[in-house]
Amino acid sequence: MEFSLKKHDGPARIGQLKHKDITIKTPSFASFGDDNLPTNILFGLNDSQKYNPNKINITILPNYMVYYNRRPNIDPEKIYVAPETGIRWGLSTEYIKELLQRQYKIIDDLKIENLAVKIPLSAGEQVIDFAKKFKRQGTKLFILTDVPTENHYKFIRTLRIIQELPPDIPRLLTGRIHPSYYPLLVYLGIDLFDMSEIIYSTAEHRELFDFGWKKNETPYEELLIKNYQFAMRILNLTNESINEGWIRRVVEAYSYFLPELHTITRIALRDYYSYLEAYTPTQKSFKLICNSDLSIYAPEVQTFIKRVKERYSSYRKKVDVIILLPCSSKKPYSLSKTHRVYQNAIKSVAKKSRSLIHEAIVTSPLGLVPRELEEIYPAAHYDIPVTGDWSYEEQILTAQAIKDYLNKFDENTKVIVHLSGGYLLSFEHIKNDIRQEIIYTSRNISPTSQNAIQNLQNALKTIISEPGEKIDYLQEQLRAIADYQFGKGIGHELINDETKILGKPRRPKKVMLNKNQIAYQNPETGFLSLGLKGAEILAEHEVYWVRFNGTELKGSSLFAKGIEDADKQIRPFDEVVILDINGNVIASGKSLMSGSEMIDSERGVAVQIRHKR
Amino acid sequence: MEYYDKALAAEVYEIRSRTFEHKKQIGNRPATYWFAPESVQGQIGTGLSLVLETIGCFWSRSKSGGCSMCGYVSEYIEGTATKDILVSQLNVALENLRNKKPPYIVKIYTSGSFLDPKEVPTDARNEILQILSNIDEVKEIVLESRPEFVRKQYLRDIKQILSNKSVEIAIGLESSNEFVRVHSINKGFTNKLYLKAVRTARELGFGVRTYLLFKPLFLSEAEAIDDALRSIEFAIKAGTTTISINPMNIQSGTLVEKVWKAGSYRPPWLWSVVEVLKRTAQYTKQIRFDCDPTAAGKDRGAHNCGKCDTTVLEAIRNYALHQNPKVFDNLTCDCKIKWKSELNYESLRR
Repeated sequence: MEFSLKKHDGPARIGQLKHKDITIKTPSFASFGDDNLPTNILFGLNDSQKYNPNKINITILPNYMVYYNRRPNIDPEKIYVAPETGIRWGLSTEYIKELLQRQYKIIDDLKIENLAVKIPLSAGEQVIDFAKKFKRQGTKLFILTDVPTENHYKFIRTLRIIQELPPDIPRLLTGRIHPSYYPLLVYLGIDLFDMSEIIYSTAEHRELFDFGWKKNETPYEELLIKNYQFAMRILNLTNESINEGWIRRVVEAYSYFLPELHTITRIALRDYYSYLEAYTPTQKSFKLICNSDLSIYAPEVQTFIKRVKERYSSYRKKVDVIILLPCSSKKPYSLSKTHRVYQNAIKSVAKKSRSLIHEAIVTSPLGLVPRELEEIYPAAHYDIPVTGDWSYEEQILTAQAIKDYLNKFDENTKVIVHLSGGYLLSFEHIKNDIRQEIIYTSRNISPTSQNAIQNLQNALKTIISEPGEKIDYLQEQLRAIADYQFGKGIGHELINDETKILGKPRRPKKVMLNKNQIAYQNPETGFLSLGLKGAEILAEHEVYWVRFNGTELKGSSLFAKGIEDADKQIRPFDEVVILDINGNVIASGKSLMSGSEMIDSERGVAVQIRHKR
Repeated sequence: MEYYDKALAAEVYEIRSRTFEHKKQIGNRPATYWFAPESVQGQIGTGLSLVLETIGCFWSRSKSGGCSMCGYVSEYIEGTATKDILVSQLNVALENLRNKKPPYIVKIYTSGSFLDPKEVPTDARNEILQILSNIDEVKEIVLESRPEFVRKQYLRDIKQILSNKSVEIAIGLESSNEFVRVHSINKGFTNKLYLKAVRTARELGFGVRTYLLFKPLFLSEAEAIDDALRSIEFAIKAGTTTISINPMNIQSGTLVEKVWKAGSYRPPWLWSVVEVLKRTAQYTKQIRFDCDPTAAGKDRGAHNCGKCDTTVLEAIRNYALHQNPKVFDNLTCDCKIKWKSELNYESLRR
């Protein structure tokens, strides 16, 4: 039995489980015994059960007491679940530790090639070390058992151990779980579910549907098919959404269907944030839909806010005035009608003083987007429902982002607040914390109205008196993007007065040093990908590196197996530099995993190579 | 193999040690007693089950902490059960037996071993048996003991007093799988000791009643059925004359209760009990089967879905009385599908 990961979206993954000539695509069902359902895996309680050629047949070995009493014959071709040792809720930590040791010993004793091992959630945190040991013993599948499904708080709390399980081994979650929970659980990293809920609910005359269940007296077989099809529909939707890269949207949407599901979704998204974030790509090329109040806490959104706060700073020598502008639905903002109006208005007043004026766009849920970053993901890709009403949470988040941004500038800088409505409401939460002088130009009127534009221009005229330095706006933009991508100050190292930028505003750009390509801007994500020269510069700063445990790369992929160590801040789709075992730069590439995942995994492609030495 | 599991024993002992603060003196009333219709020498009569109050089982008083399912470990009784005290306990029950339908079968338990002279002094034991010997309607007597105390000398003494009665020595084997007795039950004796006790009893003209615990802790429903069937075969081969199948019931202050309360143990389904009993039918010519599930139909006892429990339980009791598997024909309920799936899923889930 082999498992390989094909695609990620957060910790959610699409994988392939293969045994001999049978292949199963996960997330999926695991069924066993006499389920008689058209599913992927057939677990057999004993060897006598008939073998179905369309399923992978897995045999559950009995409890250790039964196993030791009567050791079964092991067929090396078959897949077995190792005996469990009676770890249960209600037992003491010390006793459970002893039972885990017994489980470890049995696995040693078994010497099974195709091995599945139970991970009892009742064992708590101490199971994590054992899971790693079980992996070294050759475990090919983890079965999460003793799942406290009857208590949703306990359920979601105990699932925390998923975060620490070796990522390259598939996880089967057992127990009665309503199919509406699948998107969340898959998002948290579950690959397989058992079918007990479908069968038991049917026996209880329950018809399952998105919002729970209802009584249905149709005959057993008929209702079983119905319930099975319902569950399959959700599994398919889940699969599809990982493929498309919007599992998060489905998780948020489904959470609203059941109160207990909503509770645990909120808890999971809050408590497991750093885990979700570690697996979430920092760049995508398609829309980021922020449709619910939970979207604010999406890693994509929070990462943007955090990076603007920590990595962004203006490269200008002098800024006299900052203009806070409202966002537009068209992205990047500069392409919108409203922003053209603002920019023309500013340009006509500023003339040679243009570089003294810095623009930033206030928005929800990203908070604040400096003009230089408007083309990158997710600033150019997010979409929200617009009603004009700002929730309290949105206001606070936006206010904080404005405050953090303004703190980056000198206190003599003036701040023009060209905002109204919810935007202005947000600003007002922190207006007393601002060190700079504030000028309102759009109070009680629409920012695009003639009066507001007039106010903006008048304000600018009174502030601006002298011409500013002449700056290369393309250079400024690419440096800000490089800082955002690789860390504060890296932009200056990659792009300086000796480098040449080829391309025009809002077109793909190349950064060249002599004849060597340093970076190339991807027009879809707005991010930079690295040429070899760029990779060398990055290597000097010891960021976004991956160390290959050899010296010569073959082919266009670097597998996780070949990775010795990596920078833990790497996220899927980040641009990385590949070092050889001696620390020399040998390639640049695009990572497909997060840094810790590629260290912990033995399977799967970790980096797609772009340029090789 | 080791005859007990230190880690499990420590777990049980921890519960046991909490009872030390609530000590209790032996009194003049039995711990409990009850009556039930029962088959006595082929006739339907009455069974008296009497639990005498003594200082309790030597095993549960030891560092082992006692058995994982045994509620007696949660009691800590002090004092000496003298002849007078135990006779007055017996009389409380006998007074109520008089108006019951004869013939009688009297089963005497303590919260340990009736044959342990530290629990029941020899003079008290002789006096109790003498009283029973004098009641004509008492046709059968069952005396429960751990196998350690099934000794030739004791049995010869008993035989002398009860020469006119059919006597069975009852032993709680629980399971014939020694690993189950060590790692689940914490029973503390070997199969060898059981076999020896059975041989001794049979040689001296006693019957042997073997108690089996149905669905010990940590076993799944399917494993429990398998365990029971193997244990039945084992006990018959050993020479038992009666097998009493005791589905797990959750007794207060036990390790089993702790796990049950935490949601990781479910008492057996009555369907599983039926399944086991159905398969005993082939042996009813050789030996007798008994089954009266405690707390049946309740959360703490063997139960089904709630709708069918009464009917199924009635069939089980009927089987114990008549040993006829036809009582299980036509028994059905919607929950049977769930039970069948549970035979698979509980093995996966735990």
